Amino acid sequence: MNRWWSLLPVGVMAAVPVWTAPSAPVVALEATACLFCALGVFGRSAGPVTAGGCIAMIGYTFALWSGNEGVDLVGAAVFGLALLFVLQISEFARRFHGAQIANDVMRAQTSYWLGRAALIAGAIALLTLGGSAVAAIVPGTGRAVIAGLGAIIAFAGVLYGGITRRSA
Amino acid sequence: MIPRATPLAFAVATVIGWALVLGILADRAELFVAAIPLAAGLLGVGPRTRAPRLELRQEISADRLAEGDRVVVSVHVAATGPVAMIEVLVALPPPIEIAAGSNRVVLAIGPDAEEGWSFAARCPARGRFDLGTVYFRVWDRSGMAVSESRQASPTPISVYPYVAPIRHVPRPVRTQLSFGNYVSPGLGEGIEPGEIRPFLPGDRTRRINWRVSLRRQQLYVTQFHEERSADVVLLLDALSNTGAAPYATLDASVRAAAALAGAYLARKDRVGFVEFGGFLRWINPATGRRQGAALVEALLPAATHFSYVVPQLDRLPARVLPPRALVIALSPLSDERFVTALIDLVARGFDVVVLAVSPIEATRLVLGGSLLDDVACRLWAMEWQARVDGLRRHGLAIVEWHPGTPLDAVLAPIARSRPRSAARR
Repeated sequence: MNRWWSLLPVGVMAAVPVWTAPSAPVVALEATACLFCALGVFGRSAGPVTAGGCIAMIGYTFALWSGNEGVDLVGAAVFGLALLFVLQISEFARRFHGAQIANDVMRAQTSYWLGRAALIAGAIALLTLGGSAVAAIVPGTGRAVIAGLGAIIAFAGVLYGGITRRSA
Repeated sequence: MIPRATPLAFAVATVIGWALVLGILADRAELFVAAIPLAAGLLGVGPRTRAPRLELRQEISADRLAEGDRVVVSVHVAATGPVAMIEVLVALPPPIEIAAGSNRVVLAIGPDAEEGWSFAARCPARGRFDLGTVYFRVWDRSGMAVSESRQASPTPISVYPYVAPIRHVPRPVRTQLSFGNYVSPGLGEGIEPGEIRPFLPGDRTRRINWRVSLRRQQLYVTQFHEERSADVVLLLDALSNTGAAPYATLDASVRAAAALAGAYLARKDRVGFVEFGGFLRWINPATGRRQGAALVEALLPAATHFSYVVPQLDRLPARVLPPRALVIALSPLSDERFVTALIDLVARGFDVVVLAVSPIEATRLVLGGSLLDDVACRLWAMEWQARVDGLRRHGLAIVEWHPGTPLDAVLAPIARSRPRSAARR
């Protein structure tokens, strides 16, 4: 797989914080993140890509903190997806460097990535809508209870998933 | 196969943790939302179902090759269930290299289906190799989990040394009793005419030389020289090896030994083999095509083995090193123990011819082409030449061979300089 494809989500990952708050520190942090990611992609190493992702996260945090605007869930979802694809595509290219990849494998993998992106985007949209609806219906004290219930359900889900995989 | 988390899973987990820490510190919900896709990706760790049973089958186009030949390897992978992504690597032992295609592929296998591919490998150097080790990894689509294993089913291939045709070989000074191709000074049954002498009672009438008898008015007979065979022992120096396969001095020596064995066996001589290395290995002299095959098989695994024990030729059984044998030593003359053994052989009265394989060219191929390397090689070449000249003064017949020069052209002068008629047995 061509390593240049990894640079597409890197660009998206860097663009979201800059678009949120276009300041010099944010640009500098995102440029550093891009540099690390490029180093990892072309040096075929997972470490620099992870470091680049972490730096991009710092830049995004700084952009949110300095922007001081309302909650931007779409931007956050796009940033998270871009970060996931940076890690996955760069790792895919690194892992299979020098190997002959069958065409049907590439087709299936691309479909998987696109499907997963659509699924995650849909899930985030659903959560956002659900959250807004709950916020409109439930009074202030009840929101904390619902948030706690959600956390417990998520924890139970993770626990269930872990147990079933171990027994498989 | 037990699935395990990949470095990607740890990288994603690190970024998730970092997002949560920063989200708490900055008190921003967006960072938690940004962590959701990563967490969703991480959920792919570990397959939900047991990995299907895999069966790998390997076929090779030939198991007996010559140096430089290609072998086509076909690999078939079958699975009891669907496999999203399987990475298969056929391990190639050095110095076997890829000639066409790839020995590492990523495949997808449908349920109860079989997938496969082929690639060509080139075998540049002699030896016995096993192509039967296959490594495979079954990857999760998310790349977060992998299970790996290996399958080893012996698939041996033998790569035989290239045998150059040679016409000129050193003639043995002494022959054996058996019939062969060398004209002996001894008189008896043969086709090579020798002396003419007066007829004696008991001489066969068909031997009467009528032309001389009529001229001299007395019966004369023509005598004939006997044709005898010889014993040839190829002594391979495996104490030292210079350069890298397939251009190392030992590889060149093995090729020369195979060519010499073929040439002498074609002349109906008995040919034996002694590997003088970390341990002594030998084949008794014999003749025929079976002996030719045995010699080439014995030459295949020739290699340097470290040992504190100095091998000694006088411990060899007499049938391995017959007293009247022609010993052809193949050596780069780099190890003093081998040189001592040669001098000892000459002192014991053996007819010894040394084919000195120059180590300089093999070393030049390994080194870079810097000026310093060039100067060092030239100095070494002078030292080596001085060593060869010194050994000639000990009475050794030495033929210098710089690999790259045809062996036949190198052997021709010594084949001409040695006596045409072998000494009387």
